[in-house]
Amino acid sequence: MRMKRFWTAAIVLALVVAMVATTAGCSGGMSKGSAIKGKTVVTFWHAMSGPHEAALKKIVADFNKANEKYIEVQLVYQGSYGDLSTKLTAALASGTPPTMAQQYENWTAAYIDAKALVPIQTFIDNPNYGMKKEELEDIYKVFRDQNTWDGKIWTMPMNKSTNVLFVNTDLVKKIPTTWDEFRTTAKSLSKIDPDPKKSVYGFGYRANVDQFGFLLKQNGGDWLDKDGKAAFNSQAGIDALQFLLDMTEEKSAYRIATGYESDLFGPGQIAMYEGSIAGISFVDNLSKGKHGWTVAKMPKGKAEASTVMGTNVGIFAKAKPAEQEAAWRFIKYLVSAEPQAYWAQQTGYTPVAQSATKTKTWQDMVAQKPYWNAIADQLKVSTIDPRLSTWDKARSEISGAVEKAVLKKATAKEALDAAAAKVNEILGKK
Amino acid sequence: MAPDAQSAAGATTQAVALPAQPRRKGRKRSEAGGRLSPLALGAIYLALGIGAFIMLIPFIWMIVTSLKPMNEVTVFPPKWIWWPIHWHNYVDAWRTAPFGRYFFNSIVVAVVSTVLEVITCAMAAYAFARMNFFGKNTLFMLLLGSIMVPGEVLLVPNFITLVRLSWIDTYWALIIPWIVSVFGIFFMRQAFLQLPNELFDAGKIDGCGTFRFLWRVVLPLSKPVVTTVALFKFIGSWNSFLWVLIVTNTPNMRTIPVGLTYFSTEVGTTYNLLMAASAFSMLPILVLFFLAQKQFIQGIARTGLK
Repeated sequence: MRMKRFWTAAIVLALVVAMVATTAGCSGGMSKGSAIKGKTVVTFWHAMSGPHEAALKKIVADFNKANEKYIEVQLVYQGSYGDLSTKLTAALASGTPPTMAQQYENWTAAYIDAKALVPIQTFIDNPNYGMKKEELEDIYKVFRDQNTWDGKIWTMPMNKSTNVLFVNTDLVKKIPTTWDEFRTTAKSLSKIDPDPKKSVYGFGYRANVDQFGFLLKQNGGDWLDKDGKAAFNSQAGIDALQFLLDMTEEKSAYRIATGYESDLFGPGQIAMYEGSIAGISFVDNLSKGKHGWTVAKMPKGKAEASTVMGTNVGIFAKAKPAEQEAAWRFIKYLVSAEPQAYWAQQTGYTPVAQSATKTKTWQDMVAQKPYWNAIADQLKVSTIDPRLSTWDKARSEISGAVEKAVLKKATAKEALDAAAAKVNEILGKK
Repeated sequence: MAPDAQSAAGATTQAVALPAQPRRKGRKRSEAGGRLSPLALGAIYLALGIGAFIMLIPFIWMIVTSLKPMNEVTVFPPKWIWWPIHWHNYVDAWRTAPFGRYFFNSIVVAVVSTVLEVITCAMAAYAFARMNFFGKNTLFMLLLGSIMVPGEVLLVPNFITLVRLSWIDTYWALIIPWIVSVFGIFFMRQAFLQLPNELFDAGKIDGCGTFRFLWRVVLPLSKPVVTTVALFKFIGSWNSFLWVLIVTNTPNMRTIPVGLTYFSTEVGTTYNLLMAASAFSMLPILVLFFLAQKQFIQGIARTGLK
């Protein structure tokens, strides 16, 4: 019985292989200088779920339809970013990576060291199907920088977001633009009830590396100095953390212990929070019928600043030349104006190409949601976080330090100094 | 909540222990003072009832959340009753991912791996419990030692092995690596050791072979143990996530836990749909548990000797 089933399976498999082989053999190439002969199937591993996945599927479907004869991109959902990373590690170790995959910069750094990637620059420079200078420069500089190592672009920005200020417009009458206004507004909105569950706070935050990072950069500080040593325990960093501690002390800010900020923002327990623009669909769902909301630029300290986050897409060296080229053609399409405008509209991720803001899709969206102008504007002052393969470890150290300070187990200076020492150790800068 | 739950759980254990006492004394019950007074009995039921209710709260919470609109989900203090009920969440959740296929796969994988595991574990446990061979104890110690190796360490090497076997994205990968469990072997071995020697002697005298003896005598007498091992296995297989995700690439080969991740992103979770999906994905486990419950309660192995 089992044997019989095995043979049935084997015959079916053989037929499928034969079919694929014949289709692959019968048509011609794609264009001059192209390695693509016949239909090339490429796999794209991603971690997009929910509305994000739906939008990505549509973009891929459009691309596949337009290139029906030559290229088919197959999307493979691989769980959360953590799961995707584990899976990529296993796949690279066994020599079976996909053609392309989403990746954070610190993974990319490790993949480059392991010689697992082909630099995207190779394809950008290709005279037949590369990118013109103006096409490349259409991509926001912050994103190009983020994907460049040793003067070469290795990956392309994909689902990028920037941090913005979420505001409950029923409570906040005038959107704060500076730290001082921000603190006064938050203080005036906080209503502390003897029953902590009924209290409303002006500002809600999670005591982690991200929240500290916003303040650090707005205060003119940075994570590392020129030599790559920890610099976040500078006076700018200490003052930034102290600002958060002071607001917490005067009860205008509330530390969210677990869960997402939007979980408290929706029911109106916090009036403002700073977080990823990619969260707007959740904010919208949770706030519906409760209160109005909008997003604004992050309040400015000594400097106007925000961070960009999200992953990029890279092509693996293990793929055949035709597959690599097909993947590149898809990526080139993905970062072009129309798909980017659609992507932003559907997901809340920021477009990576400036020309996306010239499309009708974008104009229509901005007409309804004017805050998108502020977001596009903020991208120009956004900066990137370190892209070292060890940065994840450093991040958890810093998160630990921020939490320690907020829970009053150490002063801002003590916590940051201790974290800086550990981070230097992690980064090998002692 | 936590201290309450603990004390209630304590009360429950005590309450369970109480009625068992007269029974243990067997036929002497009447001499020992008869039944519990209605008051004591009432107290026991009350304590048990409270314990059961506390255990149920997470499930009630899940059902309640699954029927709310999204904008009610995180409201605090939570509302337990509201109108209208959002039955449609279940439809939406079902449509979020190919759950029909996921259910099919989960059932196939869980059933097949449970059956195979019970077979392999019973055979190995029998050998360790009742047979003598060279290096038996060393081998058993090695086996137990393997429990201490964390799964994460084995993930990548196991993956590479499966790639070499070309098993990636097949049922083989989902089932075969999981059909032996050291815990199962250990658990069954302990049970087999407790069976009286007379049984084995009787079997031998009647000319019963080892295999026949295992299937016809030992296993039927160890039903509660087998049920426990099988149930653990089934639940483990049903909940298994990372392995499934790692060794499969197409939705066709994936199982329910993978489907549940579709409701979360790094910026938010669609709680009401997630709870709806959790509710329907645990139904089979619930049914199975009720079916197997009898075996648990019958717990005490009947030796078959008078």
